[in-house]
Amino acid sequence: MTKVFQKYISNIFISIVQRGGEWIVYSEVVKNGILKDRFSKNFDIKESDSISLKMQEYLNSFQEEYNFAYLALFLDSMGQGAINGTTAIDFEKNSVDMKNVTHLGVDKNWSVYASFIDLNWVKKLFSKVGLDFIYSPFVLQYSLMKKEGLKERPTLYILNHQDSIVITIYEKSNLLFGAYFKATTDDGLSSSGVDDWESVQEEESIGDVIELDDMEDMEELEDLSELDVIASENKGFEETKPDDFDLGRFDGEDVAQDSCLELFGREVLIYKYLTSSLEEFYKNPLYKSSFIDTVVIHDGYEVSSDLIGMIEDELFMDIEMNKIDISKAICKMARQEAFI
Amino acid sequence: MRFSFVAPRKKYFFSMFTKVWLVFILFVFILLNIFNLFVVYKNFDFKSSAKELNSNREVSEKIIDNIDEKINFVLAQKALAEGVYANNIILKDSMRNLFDLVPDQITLSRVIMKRDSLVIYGVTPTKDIYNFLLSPPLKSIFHTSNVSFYFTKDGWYNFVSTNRIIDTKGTE
Repeated sequence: MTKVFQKYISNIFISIVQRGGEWIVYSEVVKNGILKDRFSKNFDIKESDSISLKMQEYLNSFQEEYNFAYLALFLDSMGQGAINGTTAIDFEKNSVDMKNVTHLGVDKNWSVYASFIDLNWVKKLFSKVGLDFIYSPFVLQYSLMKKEGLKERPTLYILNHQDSIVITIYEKSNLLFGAYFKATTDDGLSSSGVDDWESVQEEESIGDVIELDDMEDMEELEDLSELDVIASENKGFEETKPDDFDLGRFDGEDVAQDSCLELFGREVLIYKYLTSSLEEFYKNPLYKSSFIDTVVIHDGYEVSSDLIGMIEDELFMDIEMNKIDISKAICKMARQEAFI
Repeated sequence: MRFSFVAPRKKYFFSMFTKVWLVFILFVFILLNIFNLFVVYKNFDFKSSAKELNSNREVSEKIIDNIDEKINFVLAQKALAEGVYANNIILKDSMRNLFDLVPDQITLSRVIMKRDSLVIYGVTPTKDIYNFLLSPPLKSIFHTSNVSFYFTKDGWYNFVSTNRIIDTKGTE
């Protein structure tokens, strides 16, 4: 009943995306299917266990102004993933403890999941304002690729967000492989180094949710930018040190060059994730292997020609680049879901 | 298709505050309506009772008129009775006066007394006795006084005295 009349009055869709130490709050006011207004504001992430008072006030002001305010959060935490299949057996095969995760079947073919810990953490984070939708990057990527049209052949998709990378392999609309990686470069390059990535890969592909507690700790540490602590905890830190030193040498010289180098470091990381994912996909008997020759990148941050060159030259894959705005995409998903 | 990990919170067209207001306004509206109905009912009730009382009043007025009429009738009767009584007293007095007037020598045989006239039949030994003893008081009372004498066998006189009071208003 409410739904029928709801579209004739103003609805506001607020997407909240965590990006580079900031909350990107982007809002769209929609009335009768027409975009009436949009707002955008960024807030610094100061504390790890709550959002700033300013942001609370900002979000609550929208909720007071509009009766139909939907807050959609882009879930950017480690304790999540996507697997092929929707049954308990599938979860067990992927070593995901169903008791500790919230899972969601997509098109009855595959599932996304997120740990209770992470979901409760974000719910607590937004307890003063409330949340209507929490979207996994996997479903965001899925909605984007569905919009563009599904590929006939198995294809690798990369969702490039500033803080994280999602690498998935789809055969038509069926997910074969899905992995989520952190990609914080500026202050977290060392923490997301090779050793770290390996542990992440383990988390994602094998999905050992029991270790989620540890991961959360790590996240908090990242937020606090306590590199030293992470470094000392990570035994493989030395392996990434060369990268780190390269960065250090350019520090204070030329900002543009510096950011360029940062981007390059990040892209090397993405490349590493990509190759490891492919390796995992081809070698692990868990996945139904098929040859992949196309990569679709949904770029919500920045991708240089270097990465494209690397993929094309070294992996001999075709690349399709799609620039996206994650905030807008989240709003769009919320719009679709709100009017079901 | 549901993509979100959590279900959206329920949304309402009206906020809690607005709802409270609406409920309050509705409540007041209903209350006033009930009061209005009550007033309308009371109004109707009063009107009908007023009508009833009015008809009662009319009936009572009729009864009062009736009683008034009866009272008037009784009063008239009373006045009449009083009049009769007074007349009788007057008559009695005038009779006594008349008989007092008549001297011992004169014998009355018949008296016709009317409101404005007095006719006396009697016997007198002589005309003079009548003329000196009875005529003066009669003349002083009545405006006109005529007398006729007839001889009797024993040498006395029968007389008929006709006396009239001429009404000043001219009604004889």
